[in-house]
Amino acid sequence: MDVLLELNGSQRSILKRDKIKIRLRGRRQVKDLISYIQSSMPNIFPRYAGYTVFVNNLPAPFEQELKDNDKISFIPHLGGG
Amino acid sequence: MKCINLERYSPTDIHCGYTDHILRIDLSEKSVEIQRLLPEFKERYIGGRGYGLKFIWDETDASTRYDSPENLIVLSGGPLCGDPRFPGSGKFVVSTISPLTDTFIDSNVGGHFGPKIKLCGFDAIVVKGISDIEVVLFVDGDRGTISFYEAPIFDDSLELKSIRYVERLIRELNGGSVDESFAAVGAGIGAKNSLFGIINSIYFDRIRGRIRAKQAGRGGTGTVMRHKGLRAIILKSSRSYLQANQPYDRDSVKDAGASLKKVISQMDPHQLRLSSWGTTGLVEYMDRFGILPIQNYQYGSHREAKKVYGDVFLDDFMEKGYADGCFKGCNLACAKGAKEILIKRGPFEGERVEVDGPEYETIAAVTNMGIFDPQFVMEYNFYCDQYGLDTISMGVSAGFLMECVQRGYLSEEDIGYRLNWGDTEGAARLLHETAKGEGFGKICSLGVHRAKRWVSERYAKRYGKDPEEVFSELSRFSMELKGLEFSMYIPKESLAQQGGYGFSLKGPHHDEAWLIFIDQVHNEIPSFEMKAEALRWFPLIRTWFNAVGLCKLHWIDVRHPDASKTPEPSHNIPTLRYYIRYLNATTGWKKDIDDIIRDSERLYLLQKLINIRNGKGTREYDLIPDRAMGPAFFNEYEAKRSYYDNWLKEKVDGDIPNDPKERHKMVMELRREDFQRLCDAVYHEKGFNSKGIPLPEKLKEVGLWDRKIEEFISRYHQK
Repeated sequence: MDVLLELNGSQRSILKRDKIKIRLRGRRQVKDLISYIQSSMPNIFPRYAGYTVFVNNLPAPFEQELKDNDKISFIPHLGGG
Repeated sequence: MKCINLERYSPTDIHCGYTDHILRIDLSEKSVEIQRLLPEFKERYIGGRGYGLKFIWDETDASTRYDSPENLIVLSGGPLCGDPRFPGSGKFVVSTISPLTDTFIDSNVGGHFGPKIKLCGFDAIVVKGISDIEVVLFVDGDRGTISFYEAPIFDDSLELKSIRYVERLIRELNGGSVDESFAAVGAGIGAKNSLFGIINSIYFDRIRGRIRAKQAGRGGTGTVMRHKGLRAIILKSSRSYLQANQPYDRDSVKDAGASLKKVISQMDPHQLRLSSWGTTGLVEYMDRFGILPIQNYQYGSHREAKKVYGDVFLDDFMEKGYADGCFKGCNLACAKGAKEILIKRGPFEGERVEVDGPEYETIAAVTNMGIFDPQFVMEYNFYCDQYGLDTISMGVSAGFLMECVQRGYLSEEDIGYRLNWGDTEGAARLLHETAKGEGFGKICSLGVHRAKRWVSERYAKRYGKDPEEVFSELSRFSMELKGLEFSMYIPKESLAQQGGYGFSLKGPHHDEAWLIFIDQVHNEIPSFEMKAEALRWFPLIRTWFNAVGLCKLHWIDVRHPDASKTPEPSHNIPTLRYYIRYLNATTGWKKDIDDIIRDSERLYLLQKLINIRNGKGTREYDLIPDRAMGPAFFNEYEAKRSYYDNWLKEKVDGDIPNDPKERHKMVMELRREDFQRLCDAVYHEKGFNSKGIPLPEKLKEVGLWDRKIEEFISRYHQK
């Protein structure tokens, strides 16, 4: 199953790309994707960073099942100074 | 420079964050008074906005307008202002009666001026009166002198460049050089000629080796200053900031500051990255979620918006590799700057200049005019700062006038030139005319509310219509409330942010409640009750930041890694605990979060009382325009038809009309009803009656009850 990781802000700036296609094998929940990304790109998606995961532009719980061609993004918490 | 009057004084030392003295300036008399405050005063009114509120409540009345001699400008940091061991402690607040809203306004700003007020021996500077000639005030804490100087005219160029003008003043006073012992505030020609003039907070950046400026931008504080005949206030003190606050427990201050700095270093690079990008990074997120104002808030995203994303400014304009905090010890360091920017338009065409910014709000003010040119953003930023204009009010006023052209309420003949969406030449001309008080700029300089009146009267006369009817039509898309222009976020899809803007006491600025992301994007306050509670809590905690002299960004824009383990992650309580520790370690108090919320509520309600007294405090002044609630016009509905139809289906539980125009009408009717329901719920949370008047028991609960308040409030409860 392929999903598309959309990159924003510093992620896009560091990786110099707007999106990355990721092939998922085995388990297919949001938390599996997070685990995969955190281990493969720890400098960009560290474990402690405060993000909400979005699937197809909607906040997604960790247990949500992913589907082929889902668009995933990690949106930081903004509070507005 | 010609000295008019010089007074001598002995600067008071700071003890536990306070000097317990204020400096009173009477510009009419060119006189000085130093007033000692009783200990109860600071316990009740804290500092910053709190001091501004108390002095303005006591010393002005319902008839006071921005240009009345008794109107005050109060400049005050607060007990936590000025200690580099804790990040973000350079903030101070300017308070006055606003020329835009005719009621209390405050605007917070960074830099070194707030800390220097205390180093010069005062907790606040309070200015009243109107000078018969333009003057400069110089407080020299090293020599113990307070001097009035006749404001010199150096040359025409410096009359247009207010930051450079103040730099020249400092050099004149300091034998030709400028250094870190000085800080200043100044107001420019745009402040003289418009109702949305700013006060620049000017300081020397030792690392860059140049003068820099931050802005008290909202509500026309600079207009008041300039109207009083006060061109600048310059402070000098060579005392070390590290000795500044003389805290009760120095080690705890250091420990609290180190804890917060560690969280920022750990989290910010993976969140908003303010330390690298400043606030420019917001553009991308606002564009993505339809929150970025485009064409007077008609649309929230645009295919060309990428041209003004944060990395564009970082790569093409900003100086990199500097510690950028606007005050010492700040590792969030969001105060970005640029140098050698080639100006391509206007009176300084061909010059290479330094620009402090851009901030998100300035970029969005430009997209609000349908312009997506980063070079234009830099020039707009430069000119607004030097002229002394609020980038937000300027961009929203220009956007409103452009939409008047789009919808046929204004013609090229009315304006004298083309003023269409995306027209950089027209927008630039309007900016320069506004600052100089020339041509059609005289209308723009009034701000949206008053310009709306001018347009409606002119249009009604031309077509034989009722001016009030036209005024109502224009009100659907005029992005102002209480007389203040909205800040740069589209709240159409966030009921909580609609409330954040509507109930904001100073007018629709996000300083009081910026809930749009936690509501619309992260969905952290999904229920109606949660939104109402957020609209009670956030304004109170944010009021506290403006009372103590601290920047909010470290708390609100960098989430603590442990926040997710708390019941209300968006409150970011683990970080707030560092602030409480800092407060108690500085002052010797023993307060907890409930205590500071109660202190804030006292100030919040005092501001509400001033609004009621000045005619802006009742329910009708909390009702936001259609444009802020949803798709005011059919073109806006069509641009997001799928979203609005889905919202409607959920709302009516199924069947919706076939005709899109009927659906659009229904969306707006239901949104107006929702906002009214929100009013009822939030007023209940805040302890107000249905008209928005605080209940006596609420005022008593926070200790805001004396004979004056009792007599005042009882009149409104009898009505």
